[in-house]
Amino acid sequence: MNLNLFCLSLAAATVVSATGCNQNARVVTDDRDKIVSVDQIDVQDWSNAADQVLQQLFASGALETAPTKPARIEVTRVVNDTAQRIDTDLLTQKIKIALQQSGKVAFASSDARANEVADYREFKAGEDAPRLPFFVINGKILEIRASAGSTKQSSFVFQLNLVNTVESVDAWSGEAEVTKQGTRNAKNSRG
Amino acid sequence: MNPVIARTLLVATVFLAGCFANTVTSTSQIRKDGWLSSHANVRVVRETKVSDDLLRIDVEVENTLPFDTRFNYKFEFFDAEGRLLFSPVSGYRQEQVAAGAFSTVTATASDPRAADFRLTLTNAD
Repeated sequence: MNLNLFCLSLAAATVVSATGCNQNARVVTDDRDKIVSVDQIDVQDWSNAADQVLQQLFASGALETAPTKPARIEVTRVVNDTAQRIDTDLLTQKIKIALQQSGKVAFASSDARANEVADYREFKAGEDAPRLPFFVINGKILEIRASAGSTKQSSFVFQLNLVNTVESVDAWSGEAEVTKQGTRNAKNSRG
Repeated sequence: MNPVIARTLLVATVFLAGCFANTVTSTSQIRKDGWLSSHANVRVVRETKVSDDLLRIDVEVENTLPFDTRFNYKFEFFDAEGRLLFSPVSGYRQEQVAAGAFSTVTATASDPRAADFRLTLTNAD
């Protein structure tokens, strides 16, 4: 009897324990609940970096130097100089959305068909001036790693430049940094 | 059980429960919870315009605790009718602040329709 009770208790404890270890999939909308990786750029880091550089750009007043509003702008190249394979659109698209929201710039489309149609319309209208951007954005993403004992640290540096194409000078340069430290990845950033 | 131990346990339980109570203090613009409710003084709130028409908010937060700590914060912007404005870069950020020191958290609305803001400060430790 006692042995049966012991076995039942053990089985129940095992089930409870296994249930506690497993987590059902859920949609995570709060940044604080997103996984924090020590050695890679997480989804929330892109938003953080974009926010930092956008605040610097808006505060600089560089966008107001364009003679027309909205000024034509193009993203040329953001170099990935990290050990990770990353799509830099994760940064540039956020910046693009925010800059478009501001109404200060209009991004040149990279859609081939749209450009073809625009060329045709201009030809029909007798306008042959090329559509040149007043600004271009370029940049670089770098990674710096360090460790002390079992603690690892990764720093990701996001550098962006806004180039005035009339004078070919940098109208603005900004930099954001995201540094993460720990011995292992964390399920969330709530501490 | 030894009455001394029982009393000690009771006092410890009450004390710990008090420490971890999820107190929330809130104004219409700034909401705080956890230790921030009692130990994060919002000293200055600056509302300015940058890039001609974009609302920028600077908030100075003081850590009145005798040790370094961290907190999460999030800014949201609203238009004049109180509608939440979408931002591709909104989300919680984390800030470290030394014992007795100040930290300034900032945000700039990317939408010129932004007329008001809400700042949420939450416990990260």
